[in-house]
Amino acid sequence: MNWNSALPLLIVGSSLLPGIVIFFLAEERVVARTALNMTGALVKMVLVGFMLWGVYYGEQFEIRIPMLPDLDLVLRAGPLAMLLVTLSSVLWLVTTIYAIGYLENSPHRSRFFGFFSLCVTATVGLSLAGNLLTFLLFYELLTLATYPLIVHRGTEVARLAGRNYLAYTLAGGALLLLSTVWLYSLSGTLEFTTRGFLSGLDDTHHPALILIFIMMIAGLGVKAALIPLHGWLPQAMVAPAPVSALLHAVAVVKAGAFGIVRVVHDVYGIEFASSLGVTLPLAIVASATIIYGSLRALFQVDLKRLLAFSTVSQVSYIALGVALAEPVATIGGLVHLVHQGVQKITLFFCAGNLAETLGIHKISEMRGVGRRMPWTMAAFSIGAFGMIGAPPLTGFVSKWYLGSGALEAGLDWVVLVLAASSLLNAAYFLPILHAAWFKSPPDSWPQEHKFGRRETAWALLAPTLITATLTLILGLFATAPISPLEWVRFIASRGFTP
Amino acid sequence: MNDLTSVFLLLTVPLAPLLMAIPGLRRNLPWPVHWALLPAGVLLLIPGRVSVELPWMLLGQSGLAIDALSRWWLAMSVVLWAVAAAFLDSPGNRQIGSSPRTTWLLLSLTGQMGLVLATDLVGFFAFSSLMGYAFIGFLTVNGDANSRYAAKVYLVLLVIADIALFEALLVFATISLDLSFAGLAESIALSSAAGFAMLLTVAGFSLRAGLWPSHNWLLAAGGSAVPALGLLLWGGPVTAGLLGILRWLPLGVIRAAELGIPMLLLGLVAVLYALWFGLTRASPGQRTACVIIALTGALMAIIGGGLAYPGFWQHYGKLVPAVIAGGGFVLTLSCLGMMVRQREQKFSVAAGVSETNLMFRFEGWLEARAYQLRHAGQDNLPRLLSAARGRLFSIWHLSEWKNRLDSGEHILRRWSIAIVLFLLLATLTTLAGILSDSG
Repeated sequence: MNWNSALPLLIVGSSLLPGIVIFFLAEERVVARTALNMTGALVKMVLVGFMLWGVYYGEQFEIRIPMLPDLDLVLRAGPLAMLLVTLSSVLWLVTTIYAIGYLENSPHRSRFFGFFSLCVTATVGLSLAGNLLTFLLFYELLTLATYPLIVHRGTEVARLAGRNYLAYTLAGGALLLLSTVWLYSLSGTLEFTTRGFLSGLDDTHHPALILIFIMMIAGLGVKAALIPLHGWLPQAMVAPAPVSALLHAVAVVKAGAFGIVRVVHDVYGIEFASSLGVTLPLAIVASATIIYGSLRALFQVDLKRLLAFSTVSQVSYIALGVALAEPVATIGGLVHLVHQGVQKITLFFCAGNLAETLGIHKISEMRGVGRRMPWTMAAFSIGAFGMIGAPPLTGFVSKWYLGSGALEAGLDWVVLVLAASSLLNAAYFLPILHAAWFKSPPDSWPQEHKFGRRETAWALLAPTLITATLTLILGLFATAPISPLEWVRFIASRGFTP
Repeated sequence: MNDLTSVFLLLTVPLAPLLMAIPGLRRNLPWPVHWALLPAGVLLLIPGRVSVELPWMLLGQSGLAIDALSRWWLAMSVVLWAVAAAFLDSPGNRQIGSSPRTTWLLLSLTGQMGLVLATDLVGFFAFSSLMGYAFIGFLTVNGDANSRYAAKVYLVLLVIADIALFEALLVFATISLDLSFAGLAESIALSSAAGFAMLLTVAGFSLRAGLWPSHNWLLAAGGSAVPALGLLLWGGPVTAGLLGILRWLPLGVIRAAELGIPMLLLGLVAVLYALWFGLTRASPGQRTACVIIALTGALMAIIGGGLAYPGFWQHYGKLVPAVIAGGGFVLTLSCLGMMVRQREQKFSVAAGVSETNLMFRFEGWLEARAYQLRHAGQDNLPRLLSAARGRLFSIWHLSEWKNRLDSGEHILRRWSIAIVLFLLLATLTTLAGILSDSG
């Protein structure tokens, strides 16, 4: 085994091993747990950096481990895989710092951080998956690793949310497994390839392939929160803020959206999927989800619940970009994988800061909070304007490419969907900002904790400001040589060139 | 002359107010807005065209430049903002540096400087959004009831305008790959599909500029007790909207009568309305707003005429800068007059208040409807959904699984052990696979 085949394993192992060790640490071993968490996160960042460099210069990173007859466990680093791997490793580091501050003095921290690490392991594993089988294994590991994080608080509401989460995601996973087995029986392979591996199949299989596509999208759509399979996501917001941040920005919903990208591009191939006529219905479902999520967000009174419905809406941009089957729209969809991640993690960090510092959970409690926590609310404002799509933030870049791609594809109605989404985003975010910045603060906050002269703990504020800065920089310098946009252009050029 | 110093100066024109908007960097500094305007003032003294390309910014075509039109516009902005800032909040006072109002004003100034110097549509859009949203902050923070109401209405108009302009940008991008002002003008002139984008452009910038009938926020802001506000409105949001139309549309090159004639008529109606309202109903503060509405209407009429008859623009288009400068002069005088009257008579703004009372009542009605909708969404929909889900998943709720999962810490401990064992098994299998493969 050489360095190039060991690196994917090392990247997966860099969070897996600390995770397993952390499970066995006693609660009071704070230093050891923190050291393990941070070492794992930093090592992963360095390894991902090496791999990113290598992939950029055309090196192959692949390992095959025999598992079933004719079916290997394959980890392979391609440009698309590196997009999610890099996002998850960067945001994992930031979220780990945040979680250490957030859970200070909370019970069951070893269990929490153990599963937290496994969650990232699963995300990185499914990103690097070289075939559907490997993807499926890590996809299910993600389900199992996330459940304890959702029910971490142990309340009745948390347990209900956890049950619903399991019901939805295990059903989705079963559907995905069934469709994968069926697909294997038809094609004899599950290897992801740049143009898909199904176009060579006989025309008589086309009805079956359409049915399999529907099953796969339904299975993946649970995690991607496509309507009507989104019900678990707003309930899961009862989880601690770092979990919500991870769920909404990096791990679960992104796993679903990434799976949809894989199925459309690397299983079916975009041209073949279009010829089967399955991409337009997917675009319609994604558009309906965008509008529905925004409409539901408009009528929420709980901040995290509002953000959850906002995720339902925003994650579907990714599916929409892919479903438009057009290079520019694909760029918009794929880059939103990163852009939505940094925006949404910022918003959830802010929600966590408000809850931990002032006990604010409801939108109505946010009057004048900008004066008490200006840095947190500045970060929240950047995240919110990013969601609306205001230039020069990341959301603007995503919407620009999605809109341009829709016009190129001749689907003008998609532009109206984007406009309506922006309008609705403004309708539910701007009143919050107005209340926070321009209304008078109350005499007392629901549950205030003092942090000396600082507005909140550094471990909570620093990650929030880092991700807010990323939201600004990745939008403002979108066309810089090492930006997510440029990387996505590189991916799209490989997927669409004849 | 495009040497390093000039380019640096060009970049500092929007950067200086942006940096000074950070409260820590201007603490105890008197005249902060005037200091922020200093690079722009120096740049005006450098002759010739200065430009810089910023290919790594936004969508890759952005840049800043000072040419004949932007030089004139920059000069006007510097003068208007400097005069307006001199009338605001005792600018010589050192405490002004710590005021949040100054932060919003400086952010708005950043947008204004950027949009004047922008060389492409996307850059202009980004800077004008910054200017608009920051101006809302300026109107709201420490503002009286009238300016806060104006800010609310302007916010709604700005969001709608931004969406219209974004759609226009998308259509322009399908017409031309080059989104610089110079490149786009040629493509629009050659394209038959530009009409819709031009309509969206005019609609978006008209909303931003407060052209009648979207003028209400200007009247409300005019009712504010701050005399310099009228000058800032003219030097900021209103003329920025007009500059947008001048920059985005190839006036004098193309003929678009179907768009130009309605604009011409709308502009004339705006002038007549402003005259009627200003003479019969307006409070002293609102008369300043009426001057702005009339001037905006007149300019829109000229632009409409230019779109309908390119020859008209070639003759009368040159009047636009003169009208804007004249407007600035009139508003400065009006502002001075109001300040003198305020000091001497402490006049009341009763007329403005009575009108805005009606506006607040309407706003209250809207808020009540929003409250009802919010509660309809919050209470009824989840109840209906949970009832349906209860029926569908009754088997699930009754099952033994629910009890198992509800056993809290007990199940979570087992869950941890099970997953660790599973992963250890997976790790061992992987190692065995690697060893057998290499063997």
